Amino acid sequence: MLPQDLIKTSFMSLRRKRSRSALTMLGIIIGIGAVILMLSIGKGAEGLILSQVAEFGSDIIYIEPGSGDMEEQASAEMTAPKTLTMDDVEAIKDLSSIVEVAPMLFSNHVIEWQGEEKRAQVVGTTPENKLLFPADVETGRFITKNDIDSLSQVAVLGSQLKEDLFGDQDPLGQKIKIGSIKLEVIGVLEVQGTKFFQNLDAMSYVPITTLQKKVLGVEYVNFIAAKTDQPLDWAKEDIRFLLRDEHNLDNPEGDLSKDDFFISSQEDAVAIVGTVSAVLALLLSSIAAISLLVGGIGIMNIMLVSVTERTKEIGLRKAIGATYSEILRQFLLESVMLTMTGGIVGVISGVTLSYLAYLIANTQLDGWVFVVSPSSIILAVIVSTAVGIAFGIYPARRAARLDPIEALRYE
Amino acid sequence: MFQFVNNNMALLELRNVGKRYENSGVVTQALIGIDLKIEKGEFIALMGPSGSGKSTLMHILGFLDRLTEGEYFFNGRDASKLSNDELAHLRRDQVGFIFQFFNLLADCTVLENVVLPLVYSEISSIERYKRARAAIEAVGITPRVDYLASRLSGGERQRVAIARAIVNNPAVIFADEPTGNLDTKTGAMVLNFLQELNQKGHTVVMVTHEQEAAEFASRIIRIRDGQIISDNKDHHVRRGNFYK
Repeated sequence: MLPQDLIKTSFMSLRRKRSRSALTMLGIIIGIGAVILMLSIGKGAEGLILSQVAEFGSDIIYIEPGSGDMEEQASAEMTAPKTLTMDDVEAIKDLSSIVEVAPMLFSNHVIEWQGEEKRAQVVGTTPENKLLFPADVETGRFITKNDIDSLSQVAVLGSQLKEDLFGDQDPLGQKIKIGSIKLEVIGVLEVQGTKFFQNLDAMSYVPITTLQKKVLGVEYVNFIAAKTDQPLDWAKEDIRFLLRDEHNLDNPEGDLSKDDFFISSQEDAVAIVGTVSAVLALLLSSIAAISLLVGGIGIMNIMLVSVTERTKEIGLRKAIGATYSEILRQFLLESVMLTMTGGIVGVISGVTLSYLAYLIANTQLDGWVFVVSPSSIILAVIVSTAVGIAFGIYPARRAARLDPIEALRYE
Repeated sequence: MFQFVNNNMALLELRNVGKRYENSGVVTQALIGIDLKIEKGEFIALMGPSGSGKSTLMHILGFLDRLTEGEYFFNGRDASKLSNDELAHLRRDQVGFIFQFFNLLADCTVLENVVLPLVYSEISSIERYKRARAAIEAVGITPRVDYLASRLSGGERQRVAIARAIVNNPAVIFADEPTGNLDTKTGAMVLNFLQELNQKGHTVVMVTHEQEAAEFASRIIRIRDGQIISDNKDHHVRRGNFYK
């Protein structure tokens, strides 16, 4: 039997049972399609997160209050850890390995101007704000060192917050109220967009000392970012030793869970994202394996039914000269055609849906990328073909082993 | 294609052939000590009541079944020791089958059904369809060539089956109760056709339990309890026009 005849014979058999073939393929199509889609979404999200992390620069170190111990941190979260202060900031600034330090304090307030009220995030910051949010002022000026030292009652507005409160009016020199404190608007930032799922344009920025002492009446900061010109690990160690000393921590063995602060960098974030996406890929692969197993069993089931239904046909084919291997190949090819076509249709629908997901995601989030790795497509087709062989061999052998006389008599 | 080794040799020869079935310990002797020579160009009717072993004999002669005792020579070649694949190739190249229930692929066209035996050979596609059309022409159903087999009448179906049986130009045509499922008139037409094929040089072996059908053969072999009880080689052939 010539290969093209084999292909034609198998194809015609499947075509005669069109709807059954299509339904049988559906299991494989959904399995493969879902995995392609999920992997693409996973990669897209990973790309998005990594691109945002990358914007913060690879030479920035983040220092947060509370230890890195997850359990402790969870309980500490309730009482908002207050272990970092402006004294720490000054001390870190003096380290030789540190070039710049930017402390931050976050607080939520209703901001009022001439009866207009708007709830917004108020960021207590310093002139080094650019370390994290590299936006320039559009009009006016940003917070200066003098503002920090003298606890100036001034504020810089995000572009959207300015729009919400003032509309077309010039905000410079106007007095807004945060709680009972009046602040003079000294600048408006250019449009920054969304970063880490926060709308930076809806925030307002005030001198950190003003927010601490005049508005909240606290000593602590939420967060310190430090820039180094030394290798990251050295600088991290420097800060760690300094803070243990500053906080009088007795921690000679360097047990991180005993610290009352937590130091991380972009590398750590990248590593975490990497781990998460690896776990996600593993999870998806297991789901894929299960769905292909189920799909494969479905194929085997249908092929067994088909062999039984076509017993007479098989008997006839053998009577007119088909050999064992010709019958085997015909039925094996039928199941492979089902799974391979299912795999290809699955890939096409998976890629199409991934692209739709990318289009939808991009209306909301900048930086979502459309990734479908060619290796996953090739793997999907190979795996689905292998499923066809694995689950098709048993029914095909049953067909090929039929005794022609018995098969012809079958009713 | 099979080469004729010796023209004096019988086309089919069984020597002391027996067939035993064993089914969960129960042994059935379907054929005992069959000696039979069939020459090229004969038209043989194998007759006998059901269970006599006539179908088993035909299956062995047609390479569908294996003997358990004795020897089978096809064109002087020992066929009893061939592998399954070699037997399949003999069926493909040397034999044509006509069945009582036609055994057509119902959702294939007449042409697709007739070409089927050639699909397992390595003849080119163009040649295959040429031969299939010629066979269809020979049985006179050319107008139905693109009809689905399921849409044909019983007589038409059997003619398609005959076309399928002759498409590979076989040395022997085996017909298993070819008229068993047809009315008298259509049955006679099929028998006439077998006679015609026989006159064109095809050897025909027909299994039947109908005396009327057997009348068309040139030799009538009767079987009972797995043994040949009579072999009439000079049967006066009844001509088909009786029915026409």
